[in-house]
Amino acid sequence: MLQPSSAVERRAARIASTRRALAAALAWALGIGVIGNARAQSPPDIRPLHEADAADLAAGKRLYAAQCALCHGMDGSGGYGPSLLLPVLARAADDGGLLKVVDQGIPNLMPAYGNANGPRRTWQLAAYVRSLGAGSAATVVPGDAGRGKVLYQERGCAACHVLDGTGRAFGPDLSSIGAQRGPGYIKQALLEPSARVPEGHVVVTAKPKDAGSVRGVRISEDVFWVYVRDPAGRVHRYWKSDLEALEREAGASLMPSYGPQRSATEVDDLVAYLSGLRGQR
Amino acid sequence: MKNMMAVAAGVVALGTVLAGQVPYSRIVTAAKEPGAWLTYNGTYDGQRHSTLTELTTANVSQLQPAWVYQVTGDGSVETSPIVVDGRMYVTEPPTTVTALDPRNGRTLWSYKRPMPSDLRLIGFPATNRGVAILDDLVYVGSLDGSLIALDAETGAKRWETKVADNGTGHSITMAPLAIDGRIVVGISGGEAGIRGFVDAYHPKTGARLWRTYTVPVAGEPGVETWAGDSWKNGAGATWLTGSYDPELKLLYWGTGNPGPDWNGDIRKGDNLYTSSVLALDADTGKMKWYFQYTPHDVHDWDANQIQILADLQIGGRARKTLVTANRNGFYYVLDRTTGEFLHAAAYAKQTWAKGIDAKGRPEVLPNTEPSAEGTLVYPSLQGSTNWPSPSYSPQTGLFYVPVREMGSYYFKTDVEYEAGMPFTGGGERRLADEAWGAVRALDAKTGATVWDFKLPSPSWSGVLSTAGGLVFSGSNEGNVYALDAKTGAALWQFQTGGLVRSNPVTYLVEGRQHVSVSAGRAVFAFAVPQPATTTAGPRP
Repeated sequence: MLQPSSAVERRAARIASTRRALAAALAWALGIGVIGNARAQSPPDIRPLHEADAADLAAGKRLYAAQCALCHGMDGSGGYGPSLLLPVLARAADDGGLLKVVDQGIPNLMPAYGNANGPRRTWQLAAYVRSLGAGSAATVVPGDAGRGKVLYQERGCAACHVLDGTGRAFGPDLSSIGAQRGPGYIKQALLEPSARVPEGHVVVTAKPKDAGSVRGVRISEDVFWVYVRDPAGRVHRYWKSDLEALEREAGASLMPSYGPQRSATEVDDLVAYLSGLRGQR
Repeated sequence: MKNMMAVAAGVVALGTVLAGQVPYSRIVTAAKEPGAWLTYNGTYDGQRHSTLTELTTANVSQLQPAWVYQVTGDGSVETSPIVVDGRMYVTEPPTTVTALDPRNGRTLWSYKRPMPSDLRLIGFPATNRGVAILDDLVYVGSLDGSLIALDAETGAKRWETKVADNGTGHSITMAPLAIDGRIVVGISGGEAGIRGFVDAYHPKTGARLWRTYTVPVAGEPGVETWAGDSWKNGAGATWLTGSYDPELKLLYWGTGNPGPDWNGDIRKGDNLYTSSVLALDADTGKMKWYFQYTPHDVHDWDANQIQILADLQIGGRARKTLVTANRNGFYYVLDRTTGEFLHAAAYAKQTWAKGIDAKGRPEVLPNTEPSAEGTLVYPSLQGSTNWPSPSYSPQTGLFYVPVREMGSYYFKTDVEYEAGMPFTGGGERRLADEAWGAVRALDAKTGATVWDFKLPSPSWSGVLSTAGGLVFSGSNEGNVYALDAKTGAALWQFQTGGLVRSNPVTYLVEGRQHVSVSAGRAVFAFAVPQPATTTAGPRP
């Protein structure tokens, strides 16, 4: 006898409904109107990923630990898979891209658990992944962004950072730092730069056998060569066996702390300004 | 008659292009045919050592790329080529086999296995580490869990047989091992709660001849080392090619972590036969002996490393030994006839064991288990070494191993088994900024470091040694290089521009020694350029 509500059919129906819900979520995230509606209607539990609340992030964290940590590390810093702490993810630059990857995986690289998770859990997982790079969930920024902008100029940040095409490129480009990192992360980076060393800014000291030492940022290294950019911006290339030593300083930063000589208000103002930077990437 | 002569001459001239028969008798004596590379590690003993001597410490600095082959599919390129009778067989992700002309890298045929859209790769990217050859067939394991036999001359599929279901996370990335009348293959899925096994198949028909599980079931000996029914998802994957002693007729196969990887609470006990080496009768698959490197492993320290078979003088006595550098940071010497533990020594930084006792059991230090808040332990999850092949040179008596010097915070989480989903119970946070790597030469008898060639990051490249006194390897930063096998001094290097995550091989092409290794998305072949000729144009 036919079983109209067989497990197979129930599963098929569930998958179809999952697919519809997710398609709607993706369409919403990508800013595409749902066909037939003058205005897009957002599904009830689909919001921009940065709006996830503590409960969503906790649920996402559990899923992350079970399904993602294996390759991306418990904290997202990478392993067999790439780091998820980068300011912009290569295959998931925006909400839609991230939802798609978490839902559908990447052929031949990353498995798809979207069907197993369903749309709500997929969204929570994506929100948690997004929060990893931001450093913290969105919080209210108490400072004055206008004053922060003036401080950015006065305090000489442009001596090491590019903002909208202007400044010296020694540290990271800050043009869209507010979209990439949360205020908590930015504040910590100002007060305690060594706690937030961005990828690709490892500090090394090269000690040639026949010349003075150079301390700077390692911009390239292989088995035989190392390239170091000193704080003046000069690039030094060394054949490694010509060096007496090449010291790598894990967790060191060449950025001076903004903390000791500035008021708390000043730090908040600068955080407010930087958090609002969402320029072109 | 004249025309026929011309045709015959053409065939003779192309003689090396015809794929020949590669019977077992050739593979078992592969050491006497160093111009070819006939099995995953060159010889059944897993030594990855070549007796070719054209390339030496004196002339290796002249090595240059002879050709480059660009790989097509997405995934990780980890192929270890087979080279024989004018063919080089390489594999590409996801499961593609390509036959190249080793003279110029031109494609002769390519077999591309279509992959299902819901392919489950739990814990690794799409990859394939190589083929096996026997008689006129080439064998490849597929990511979706099948063993496939291809015509060595044309690439035509002769048969395929399903090894296991990919829906439950089973997959094949390893190169099969071809022995007399058997194609032996293992299985991946150690992060999916599978029950591991080693299989043997009939070379001509694909019929399964035996299967030996790595985890016992209720009623079998060893099941008492698993709390409750935790053996059901006990893992013990067999995802790397084993070694073979044709005289003892024993296969030596490494087994992977118990499941779940980092939460050992639900599987109290030693968890036999995970993180072990199994000695299996080649005819029946019956386990002759086992040795468990890491009882009750909670760090994902698979024993899926190459188990090298070497004859060493131990305690003034010639012994048939099995030597291996394990993922857990220790180097082991076992008697391969009996499984008797002979010796162990740490070869890389490790903080989890005080040492290895007289019976070979690690003396585990307290507070080294994964925890909710994270426990710092060396080595990291990927271990002090991993699947990339080490090499043993009988000339130097040294064991050359690619080393990963890195620690990790290990985390433990709750976990429940769900078919086809990760079954891991935790993870790691790596100390990547301070990590480094090396090619390390160990005294094969003691495991003591003789020299160390440092790398900027933990290595994913295998090692090849040659009778020319050379050691070849690669780096994550794209270098392929040759070292002096006695001193570790660098003699040659080439920047390939891509991560080297494969094993180098060496062979002859028209009498000239070549070295091949893949890097990034390409397979490279290197040789000393021929002296300039008067022939104009690009034809060599």
